[in-house]
This record gives sequence, structure tokens and C-alpha cells, in this order.
Amino acid sequence: MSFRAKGLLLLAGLGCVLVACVLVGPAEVTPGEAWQALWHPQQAKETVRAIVWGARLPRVLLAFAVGAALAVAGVIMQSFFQNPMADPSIIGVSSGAALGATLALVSGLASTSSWLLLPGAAFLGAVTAVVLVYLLARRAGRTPVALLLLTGIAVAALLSAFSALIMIRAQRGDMDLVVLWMLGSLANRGWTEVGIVWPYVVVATLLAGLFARYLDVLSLGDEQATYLGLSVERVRLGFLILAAVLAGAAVSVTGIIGFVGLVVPHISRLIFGARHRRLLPTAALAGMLTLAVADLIANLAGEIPVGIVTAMLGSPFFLWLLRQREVHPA
Amino acid sequence: MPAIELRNVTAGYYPGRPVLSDLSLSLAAGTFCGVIGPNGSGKTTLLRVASGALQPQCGEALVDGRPLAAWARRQLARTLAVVPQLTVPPFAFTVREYVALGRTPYVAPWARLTTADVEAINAALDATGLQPLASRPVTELSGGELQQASVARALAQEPRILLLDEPTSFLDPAHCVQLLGLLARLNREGLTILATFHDLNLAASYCREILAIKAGRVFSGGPTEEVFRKELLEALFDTPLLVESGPQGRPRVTLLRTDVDNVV
Repeated sequence: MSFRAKGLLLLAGLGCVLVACVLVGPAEVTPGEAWQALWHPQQAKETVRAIVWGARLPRVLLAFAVGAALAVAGVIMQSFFQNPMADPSIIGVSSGAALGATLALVSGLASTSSWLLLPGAAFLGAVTAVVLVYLLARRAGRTPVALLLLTGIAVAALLSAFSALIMIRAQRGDMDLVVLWMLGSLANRGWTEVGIVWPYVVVATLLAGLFARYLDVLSLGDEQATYLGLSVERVRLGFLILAAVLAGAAVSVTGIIGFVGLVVPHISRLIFGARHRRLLPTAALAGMLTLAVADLIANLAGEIPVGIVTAMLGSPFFLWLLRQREVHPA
Repeated sequence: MPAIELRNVTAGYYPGRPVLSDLSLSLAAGTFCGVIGPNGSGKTTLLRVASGALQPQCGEALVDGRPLAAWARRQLARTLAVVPQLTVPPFAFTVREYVALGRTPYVAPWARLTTADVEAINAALDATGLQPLASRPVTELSGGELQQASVARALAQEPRILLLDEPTSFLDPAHCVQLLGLLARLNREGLTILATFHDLNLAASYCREILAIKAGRVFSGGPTEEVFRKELLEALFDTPLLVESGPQGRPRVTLLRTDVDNVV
């Protein structure tokens, strides 16, 4: 199948998922009612309009934004670390966001002050963690990949320990909030969150797409990238910032959703090839599709956190995929 | 003007433990120079310094008479290409896509490849005989094929200077002869080549000049026939060997066993 055909199929799938997410849910809405609510909202029943416009549409759009962000961040990280097993949590995004969110929730500020505080704190935590990792891994103007990787693991462990310490000292109710946040969910969000995330995703994905060829070169390793004329340190810092912003924006409004950033780039690469000019846009679309489907399942399964769904479906699928492939000496 | 020049270079990976010590060399444009020397003598480090991948701690490296620090990376990559020791790419680029990365210094990251780019890629694939494998994933190539793909990528850069680190180490005899024949032809057409060798006879067969290094210093250098002398090579490698005149008028080296009495 040609690349174009595969791409169109993916787009068609995305359309189907969009329709399904608007039509399907715990509350009963017929396709006719949903159609009417979408195109002639003033004629639709109040309840139907609330369900379609107030709940389902923003929810699927948020799933799209977050799915795309996680997938693109994953693609960038895998090229960056020359390793198909990398994802944004490796540079401390998740643990940093978790610490930020924990502080906001436990301090009680998140519930009393403005709605922006929780995502703001999580985003700040994510970006601070990445900056910390980058600075700690810097040696004489250079940041070797291996050092960055190990520093990321160490910093993530440290930040997680702080989160855990704060949690067990917290009151029962706060602890529940933190745990729930860490599991990741798209429930009870709305247009505000959609508005927060989409601009980041669009801008960062476009920027990454413009420099897609540099991701190809970067995946060959620092030395060879240098020989091919790249200013490696500058290019890598740019991509690190893009990945941190993408993953940070996603995590900040939904909590931690695992496996999308790892599995989606991996599968996209198998289907659409390794060149990032094609991989970046297709992985973004595949990420949208994946998270929307996972969220639909989470919703229908009695509103469980979507992070549980992505992990429960993602890991067995990934394991199966690994067994299908012939063995490559890494 | 020398194509590559190192002036009193001291370089290494840890402070106080130089791999190269006060090493100077000058490589004339149009030469085919082989670097030989024992393991750990600094051959790879020499290529790293000459290509600008490693900053010397003291001294300086020049390409076309200009210090490397004064070169824009992109400009340098159009002049000088490097075939490093073999590493398997982590992702399954096709051979054509992999070779196309050699055009990176010529195209903006967001731009499409031009006709000139495609021609350079095809020329590189043809020269290395990889055209039939063009749509194979690089992750499925044999070591020899991957080595050739790496050479093809460097040729796609259309460099005037080519540095190669152990280019023949994974090649079977036929591929060795094919690759070195290609390099010799490109050299006759004006490409300056600096390559490290483990196989002394291959170096003797193809190189016009030899640079022998030991413990990070130049041990000897000059036309191949002058360096390939018994006493010199024995002292360089600390092992007994024979140097004879081989077929095709090139020196031939035979290593001698040290676990039995040598009857020469």
C-alpha cells in the first residue's frame, strides 16, 4: 500500500473515531439528535446539547490534542536518544509534572484558587525537571546522550521520592486526589483545557515538522550528525524544548498517560517508515486516534482513568509486537 | 596549500591523558594516505581531530588552510566527509533514505531534495553498487553492505576530502577490492583521502602515502615504499615481520610467528 493510501486510511479512521466519540457514551443520544445538536444547536434539546457540546466534543478534541502531543514528543525523544524505547518520561517530564501537581493539590491551592493553578504547576514542574536534567548532564558545553539518559533516570527517581514523601504526609483526601491525577484522565475537562493544550500542540508539532530531517540525522548519533553538518548541541536543545513543552502541556491537563508516547511512534514507524518527514505527521494522527479510542473505552468502562486503559492495552500489544519482529541486536 | 594540516596537536578524552601528543602533519591535496599503527596509537582520534569532531587540547587543525574553528559546520560538511567505524542505525531507514542523509548540508531541513540532490544520491548508490539494495532497510544489511552504505552516504556529500576509519574491517576480500578500487578511482579524479588501516597489505597496495603513528606521535611518514621497510615496521608494531616486493610492484608484509623458531 502506498504512503498516501495508508495516510488516507488513517485520516478516515480518525473521522470514524470522532463520530463514535460524539455518538457513544453512557448517556443515550441518537445519531439524529447528535447531528441536530451539532449543526442546529438552537433547535436541539437542552440535555442533548449539553452532552454533545458541553461534554463529548471537548473531550474528544482534548484526547486528540493530548494524543498528538504525546506521540510527537515520543518520536522526538526516540530520535534524540537513538533508541526506540525512549519516551518523554526519560527526561523527567512525568515525575516533574507529578511533583508540581502534588504540591498544588496537597497545598490546597488547586481547589481554592483559579482553575489554571493545577495545570500551571504541573507544566512548570515538567519543564523545570527537563531543564534540571539538561543542566546536570552538561559537561564543558556538551551534553552526551548517555549522560543525559542516566541523569534523567536519577532526577526522575529523586522527584518521585519527593512526591511520595509529600503524599504520605498529606491528608487522606488529598492523597486520593494525587493518585487519581497520576493515573491520568480526560474526564470532567472542558473547552478551557482544550484551549490550553491545542496551541502548544499545533505550534510545537509544526516546528518539529519543519526540522524533521534533522531528526533523521540526529538518530544516527552525535558524531555522525556533526559530520553531516549539524550544530548538534543547538539542534538537540531545540528538540528537547519542543518535547518538554509538548509532553508537559499534555500531562498538565490530563495527568500521566503512559505508553502512548512509546507505542504509537513505534507502530507508526513500522507502518509509515523511519523518515521523520512522514513519521511526525502520521504519528501525530495515530496518537490522536489511539488516545481517543482509549478514552472511549475508559468512558464506557465506568469512567476509569484512561492511563489505566493505555497501559492495560498498550503493554500487551507492545509485547506482542516485539515478539512478531525478528530479533535485532540493539 | 595542504588539504589537511595538524599543528602541534595534543588531544584526548580526559584532561591530562592525551591520546595524541604534539602531533603535526600535513596532507597534500589529491593524496591517498593510509594511517597505520598499533592498537590505541591514536588513529581514530587523529581522524576525529582532523574532521573537527574532537577539539584538540593544544594546537590546531586546519582544512584547506583554514582553522576548523573558522569553518561553518554546514560548509565543512560539503568539503569534508567522514566514514566512521561501523555503527548500526537504530531505525529502519531504507538504504536510499540513509544515503540521502548525505545531502543534509545542501538542503534546508524543510525543503524537498532537488534534482541535483537526487543525482548525487544515485551516483553514490551506483558507485558503491548499492542500487539493487536501495529499498532495503539498513537494519537488515550485512556488516559489509552497511559499510558500503556509509561510504555511499559520505560520497553523496560530494566532498573534496574523505576520511575513513577502518573502511575494510567488515568487508570480505571481493568487497575490499571493490571498495578500495572505488577509492583509488575517486582519488585519481581528485578526491583527497585519509584512511586508517589494520590490514597492512591493503594499505601497501592502495595508498600513495603512509603515516605511521605510535603512542600518539608521528613515528614515520612518507611515500608508501619508504615507510614499508622491515626495520621500521618491526619497530612500529614490536613484532617480527617480513617486507618483500609483492606482485603489482607493491610491498608485501608477512607476519612471522613468535611461538616457533623463525627460519628466515
